[in-house]
Formats: sequence, C-alpha cells, structure tokens
Amino acid sequence: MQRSFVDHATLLVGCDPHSSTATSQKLGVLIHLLQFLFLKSISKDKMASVDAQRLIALSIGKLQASRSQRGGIDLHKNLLVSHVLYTARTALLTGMVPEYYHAETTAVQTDDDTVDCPERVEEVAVPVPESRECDSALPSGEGEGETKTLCTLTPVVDLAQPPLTSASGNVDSRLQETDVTLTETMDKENISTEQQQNLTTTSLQPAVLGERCANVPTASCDNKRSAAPCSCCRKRKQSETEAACDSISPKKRRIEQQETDSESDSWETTEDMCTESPVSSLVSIFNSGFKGLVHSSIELESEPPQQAVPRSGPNSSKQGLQQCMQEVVTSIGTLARPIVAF
Amino acid sequence: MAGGGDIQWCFSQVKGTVEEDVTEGEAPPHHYLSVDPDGDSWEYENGTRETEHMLPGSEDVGSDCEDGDICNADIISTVEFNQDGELLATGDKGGRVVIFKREPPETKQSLPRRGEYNVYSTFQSHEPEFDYLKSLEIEEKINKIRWLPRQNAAYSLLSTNDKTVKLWKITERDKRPDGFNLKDDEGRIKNPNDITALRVPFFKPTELIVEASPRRVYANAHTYHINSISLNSDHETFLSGDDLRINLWHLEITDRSFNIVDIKPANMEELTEVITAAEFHPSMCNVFVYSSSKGTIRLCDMRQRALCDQHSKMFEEPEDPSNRSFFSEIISSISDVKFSHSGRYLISRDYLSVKVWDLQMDSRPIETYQVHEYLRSKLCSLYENDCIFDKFECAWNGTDSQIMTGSYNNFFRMFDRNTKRDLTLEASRENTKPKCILKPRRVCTGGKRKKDEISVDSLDFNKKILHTAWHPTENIIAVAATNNLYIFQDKDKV
Repeated sequence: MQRSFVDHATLLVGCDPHSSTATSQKLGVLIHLLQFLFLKSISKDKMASVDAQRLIALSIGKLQASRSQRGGIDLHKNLLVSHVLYTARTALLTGMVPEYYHAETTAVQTDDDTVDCPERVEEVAVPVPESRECDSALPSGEGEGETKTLCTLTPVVDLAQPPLTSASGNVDSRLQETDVTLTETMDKENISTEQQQNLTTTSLQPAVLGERCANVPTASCDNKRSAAPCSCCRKRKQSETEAACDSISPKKRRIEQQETDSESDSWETTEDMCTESPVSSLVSIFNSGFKGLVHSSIELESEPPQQAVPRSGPNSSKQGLQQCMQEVVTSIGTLARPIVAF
Repeated sequence: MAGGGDIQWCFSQVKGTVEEDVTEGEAPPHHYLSVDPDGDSWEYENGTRETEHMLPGSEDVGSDCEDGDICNADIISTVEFNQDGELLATGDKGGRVVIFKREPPETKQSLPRRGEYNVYSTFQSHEPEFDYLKSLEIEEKINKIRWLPRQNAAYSLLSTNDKTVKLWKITERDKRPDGFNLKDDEGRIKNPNDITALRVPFFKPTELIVEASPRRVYANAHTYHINSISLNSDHETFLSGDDLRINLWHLEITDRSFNIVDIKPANMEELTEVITAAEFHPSMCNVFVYSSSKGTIRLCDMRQRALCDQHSKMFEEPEDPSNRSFFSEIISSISDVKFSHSGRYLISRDYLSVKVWDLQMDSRPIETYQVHEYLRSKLCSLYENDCIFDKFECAWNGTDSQIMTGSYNNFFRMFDRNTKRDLTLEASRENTKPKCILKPRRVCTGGKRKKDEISVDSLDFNKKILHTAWHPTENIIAVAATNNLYIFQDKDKV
C-alpha cells in the first residue's frame, strides 16, 4: 500500500498536522507548499501528459477532417492517426507518458532547438543543487538550520517512491535515493525508473488529469477536499464523453470494454465509419475538457496554501517556479526551528 | 561536392510557373514561363487544357484553373523516365500527363551536348469521377506512371489514379495523305462530273503531331486507393496495388484481374497495417515485393501459390526502443520501395531515412542513410501540420551506386553508397542560370549557425520534394518541386 504524501511528511517531521498547535498549523501550510513544489518539480511529466492530451484532441480533429476531404477517406492516414490516438490514450492511462514524451523531446541531445528539455531541466535544477549541497553538508555533520531544512525538501520528493519500510531515521539513504531520483528526472537520457513513472504519474493523474482513482494516495482530508470537486467535474466530463461515444459504433465499445476498464471507453473514438456529429462533439469536449480539467485541478491544488502562492496553469513558466521556490524557502526559513527541533 | 569521382550537379531546365511555387491555398498565377539555358524564354497566357497537338520546342505546361481556385491541379504527383531515358513523363493532380522528349543536339559541337527535354505531348489522362454508390468523389490525380518497353514506333505508358489504370499509346504523325480523287483538299466530296483526271494519292510531309489515345482501361478492380503499379519483366502482365489488395492484370485483358495479395481482415476493426507500395522484381517475373505501413517489406513468389498472403521473405528491422515515441509507427511507415537495376538490392524510404536491403538478408538493412534526422525532435509539430504523413519517393541511379530522395525546403538528398558521402541540394529558382553549379546545402541542427547554413526552424515545410527520378543510364535527374519540374545534369557532360 502506498503511503500518502502527507503521511510521509508527518512521519518525517514527527508531529501531527491536524493538531491544534500553531506549529502544526504552520506545518500544515508547509506541507501544502511542499506539495505544490512537488507538483512543480514533476512538471515535465505533467507537460508530457498535457501533450498527450493535446495529441488525442489533434488526432480526433484529423479523423473528423478526413471525412470531408475530397476523394474519400485515406485509409492509411486514418490508420496512423488512430494509432497515435490509441498510443497517447494508452500512455495516459498506464502512466507511460514520460517515456514516450522524453524520447521525442530529447531525440537530439546537443540540440539547442529542443526547446522543452532545457527549460524543464532548469526548472527542476533549482531544487536539486540545494539538495546536492545538503548531501555534502550532511556527512560533515554540520549545517545550518536552513541547509538542514532544505534537505527536508528532498525526502518529500522522494515520497513518490514506493512505500519506505522504515519511515524514521536514515535520512542519508533517502536523500541519496532522492538525489538519484531527481537526477533521473533531469536526465536527458530518459532512463526514468518504472517506479517513479508509476508513482509520479499515478499521483499526478487524479489531481491533474481526472483519470481513474486507483492507487491515489488520499489519506489527508485536505487532499480529499481538493480532490472532491475535481472528481465532480471529472464525472461530469466523463458522462458527456460517454454520451458522445454511445452514439458511436457500439461494436467498438464492446471490444474496448473487454480490454480496458469502463473509464477508458469514454476516451475511445472510431477508426472508421462514424457519424460526424458525435465526433465533432468529442472534438469539442476534448479540446475544452482537458484544459478545463487541468486548469481546475491546478487551481484547486494551489488554493489551500494560505500563503500567497502564485496560481499557474499547466504550462508554468520558469519564473513562476523560481518565485515559488523563493517563497517556499523563505517560508521554510521561518519554520526552521520547529523542524530542526525534530 | 568537388573531388575525384564526385558528381557536380548543375542546373539544366525548369518547367512550370514562374511565380513562387504554388502551394495549396494560393491563388493561381496566370503566366507561365520556361527558362532555357540559352536564355530564350517564352511566355504564355493561362491557357485552356491542351489537346494532343503540341509542337516540339514549345514549353506550355498550361493548366485550367478556375478563378479563385487554387492551382492544385498543377502540382506534380509523379515523375518517370522511360527505359532509354529519352522520354520523361510527369503526372499532376489535375489528371494530366505531360511528356517531355529529349531533342538531339543540333550539332555535335553545340551545347548542351546532351540536348534538352522539351514538351512532346500533353493529354488529360483521368477525369474526376463520382462513385454514386458510396457518394464519394474519385480524384483525378495521377498517382503513378510506368512506361512500357518500346515495341514499335509508338510509346506506351500506364497511368493510374485512385481507382482506374489506363494504358496510353503515344504516336507521332508527320505525314498525311493527299491527292485524293474523290475528295478535294478540304475533304469535301467532289462532284463526280467534275472529275476529269486520275491521280495516285501520296503522303505529304506535314508538321509533327503527337497523339495520345487510351488503348485499355482497367477499371473496377479496387475498392481502396491505388498507390502503385508495376510492370512485370515479362512485359505482358502488371500489378496494381491499393491499401489492402494487390491485383495482377494482363495488359490485353481489361475485364478481369487476379488478386494476389489480400491483407484485409475479416473485421475491419482489427486492421493494423496497409500496403503502401508494391513492385515487381526487374528480372525475376515471379517475384514481387510490397511494403506496409508498419515498416515491413514482404517478398512474395507467385509460383508458391495463387494468393500470396504468406510472404517468402520479410524484411524488417527491429525497432530501437530508445527511440520509441507516439509517432514511432508513423515514421516507420514505408512510403516507397524500389528494386535496384541489378535486382540484388532494394531501397525503402520511411519518413526519416532510406534503407538499403540485400534480398538475401532479411534480418536488417545493409545500409541506412538518414535523410533529415534533425526532424526527429519536431515530430509533434510535423504531426500537427500533417507533414509527417508525406510520402517521399526514392530512386536509384543507373549503376546502383547512388540513391536519391527528397526532403523539405525543396532540398533533395543524394547518397553515394561507395564513398558513403551524402549531398544536399536545393531546387530553387535562384539557381536557374544556365549551367549554374548547384551548391551543397547544409542544415544546422544546433549550436551556432555557420554561414550558408540554414537552421531547422527556417525550413519551409510547404516546399517538399516528394517525387524524383534518375535517368536510367546517365547522370540526369528530374526533381518535382510542387508544380515545377527541375532537370539537373552533371557538369562534365554539359
């Protein structure tokens, strides 16, 4: 069973976030800030997911456009488009998106024109050097409160890993694991561990994508609160897409249901004979639905922190991240003592 | 590229409209100009569709665009030299076929020593049709042209659109009978009472008239869009391949064909691949290959069984897992496959590379040439603008030592199999000075852009070279850039 993000944080700092003391309140704030930071640090994967969604919308648009072109349907092109659609959908559902995404964007390693990767590397690079400083600081046994506090950042990121057998102690090993994890995240060679993929994307998905709820750590009531409206809009979107898909060939749905669970049916489209109006409604749903889902999730995630954390859309800018980082660092500074005291 | 043994390519001719290359969506220009190396030029108004009557030396490649309509009709869709290289045929989206013939040079000392390609014949091969049963329009675009070997004074070619293959016979007429007794010069019947003398009719030389007439129409055999035709080495049969089936025809029989490959699944929802190209072996009349959208090439032997669904050999390279992406399937789809003249090798073109296969080894290609690897990181944008679906063709030279294929920005690439050197050239109106040597082009993939290099982001993806042809024996190449046809020759022979 996977521990929730908050559970790990709770164990690490050794106090109950739900207690009524001021410290715990601040800690609650810290946890939310760190959660936000966590989401930002894996924004590369999120971007990948958003791109996968965009691909799905694009593909559906192409399938629809092919029906109106002169000369009839181009079977070859439609087959390829439907394959991309299927691959993107499967990648989203199984959490394999980063693998596909990284292969594309990092195809030319020395390429300055691969815009996405360098930016994201810089985004993630901001916390990493600090963690590296932590690593060097720790063995020496010294470190100011801030440094040690910063070190607590990295284990939070590490919480994405599968359940740690011992939650207490051994910060060193966890830090080293985290360092490796973060390095892998940054790694242009895209050798990300399967664990990381599964967990980062599964923890990401319910919050951002509105996909299935399996394997979601939802222990904290705060998370539940933020997830609830999300699940509402998820259900609403799904019912619309399901309605659209119901009018599309029933044979296809039957086959799909045998293969995957019922939720994924709602995203499937036809490869051939399909009436135009359900497809066009699908197109509009996907175009708005994904963006709507992503936006609403991000907004909900960023609401709980009481401090002014800048709201951002799915494509957060570098400056936004750095600003967040600075705010988190300053806020952590104020909380340094209680945490160090642990 | 200078150097011993390397060819220096220089401009020879260009045919087509003089304005910026017409792309889909642009208004049609109304003047046509053809520039020849000796500096003479002709200008023609936007003319009507041409008939069979064409004078050699005239350059009209006219189109019949309606006002406001894009001159899609002028976009060249296929280019093919005939067996001796004297004729060059092009087909366009408007269903027309234009044949160029190389005129012998006037004197041995005159330049160019090889002679130029001038319009020989233009005719409307296919017309737009409507399938009433499926309520679908059938495009008149010529997908492929294949020349038949010459057996008499006439030339024959096969041309196909999406549904119908036609055999055209192109004949010359330079004499006409004259001196009839019962008819006068205009052809009117004479009054028998006015005839006083008897004479023998004779043939009078007249101006050359080239006529094209459809001899056979092979119709109603394909449910899906025909993408290939290939003449067998027995010169009696040919195959036509669509997305899911390949049919074998006899040239003389139009009312039936034999289905030799059928990959249509019982349930269309289980469809996973389509046929993208098919070709007969150049010397073995029982062997043909077909390529698929999944990146496989299957070689079939017609002696084994009537329905060649099971291949004799399958040429497939395992996918590199590190390159897996959303678009792996699309870029592995083979767009063209060509046997070498020797019949020992074949080349396949997928989106990013050209591969040379030895027929005796099906596990992996013996050579792989990257055409535009810098596009691998741009696949998402290329998917968006549909460029990823472009079907590039490839071509061998006469000695099977070089391979040519097209790219974007009107670039085309040539690979020398012996020296392993590659060359990128551009087909553009800027290099149309007579005997102007083409400068090699470079695409800058990152870092600092050197002088004369072009960066990946500056490439014009609307200017693509999909169709190229290499003369069967000499170093003359024909490159189709949207609606212009460029002819380049090597410098030594010019």
